[in-house]
Amino acid sequence: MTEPTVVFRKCADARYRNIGGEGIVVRQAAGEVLVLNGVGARVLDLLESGNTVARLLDTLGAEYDIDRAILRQDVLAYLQELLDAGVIETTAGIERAQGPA
Amino acid sequence: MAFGENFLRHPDLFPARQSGEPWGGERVVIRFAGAEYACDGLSIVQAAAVRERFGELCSASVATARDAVEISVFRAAEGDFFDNGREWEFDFELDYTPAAVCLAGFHFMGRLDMTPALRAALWTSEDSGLVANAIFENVLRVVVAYHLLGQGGVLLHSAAVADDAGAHVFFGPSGAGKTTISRLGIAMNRSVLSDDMNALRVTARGVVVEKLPFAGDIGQTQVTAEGSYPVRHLCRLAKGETPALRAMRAAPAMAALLECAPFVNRNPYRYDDLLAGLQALCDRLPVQALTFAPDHRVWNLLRS
Repeated sequence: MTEPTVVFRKCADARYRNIGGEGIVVRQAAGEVLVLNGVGARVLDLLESGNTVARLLDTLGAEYDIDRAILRQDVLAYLQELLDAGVIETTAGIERAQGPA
Repeated sequence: MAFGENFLRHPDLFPARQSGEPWGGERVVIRFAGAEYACDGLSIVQAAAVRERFGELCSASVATARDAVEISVFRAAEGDFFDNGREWEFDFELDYTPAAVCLAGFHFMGRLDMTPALRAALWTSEDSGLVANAIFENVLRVVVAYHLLGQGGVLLHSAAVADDAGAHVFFGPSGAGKTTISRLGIAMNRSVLSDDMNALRVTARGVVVEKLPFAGDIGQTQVTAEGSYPVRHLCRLAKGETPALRAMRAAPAMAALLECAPFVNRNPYRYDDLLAGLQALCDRLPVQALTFAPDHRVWNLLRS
């Protein structure tokens, strides 16, 4: 998942909405509701636009005054949390599971 | 486990449409919270039990307005259901499609079809047990939740405590303190609509809370208030040593409300409708987080 070209997308079960700069994610099958702070919501907004991890890091790096190595570490840890929570999945994994078109 | 497997011997044979053999020719119309629910196909025993359960909410006339929600009651064979030694169970399962909601529970199946208008059916093997085993109420709660959603409102897991100036609506999961704060309200000569579930709607005069015939602990032992009240406070409840009232940001407020909107909040096909309804509430009424200890200070806090 640390490959810069990886693209994530929301799992089918997860619904997301940006509300006033923060976010809520509903995992409907599990009945879970997560609240995301402004940065967390921004990351999901960028993922929804189909950005790669590298593009995500570039955009956040331009928006926030933060050391690039720390940003990368924090964002990757956050993406892993979203993966573990069943909020996002990699499109590469989906493509592999579906096989060639 | 797939939908219905806890309750149904043949979940794959779940009714695909609202048809079947009615239990009888009785019809009962129940009116509350500005809506009519017309129940058809009841046996004499079932109709008597429904009338006893819902009392004066049952209309003497069986004529209904055009927008009444029809609920058809059909027979099902005892062999369609698992017993597993249970006498009854309040829990049930829900399943969703774009145009329908299906229910499976103890000795019943239910189906809500959303188009062209909300309409429900339930199939049961219970005659006298239709009400006694909470089958009718289980289905009716879900029907009411979807009817409210269709009107832009929400069925909220909440306690509503009212006085002459309006109502405080306290919401939260089980254990948050809804019954406790309701008892505190009664001790202060306030009225309680329900300490379990209430209907919230946006009207021309603002957000109103309306009583539903779904009693919590208090409603089973005491007379509760009737009618519709303007909502003064919408509070996410938490128990604590030090009373506090603080505004909630929009996203946590919506998340907290979502968690307390039963039956509809796991339906992926109605998620946008639900969020729109909750957003309409939040636009008109700030949501606050209320921490309270079980004493009268909570009312001073709300007054301030």
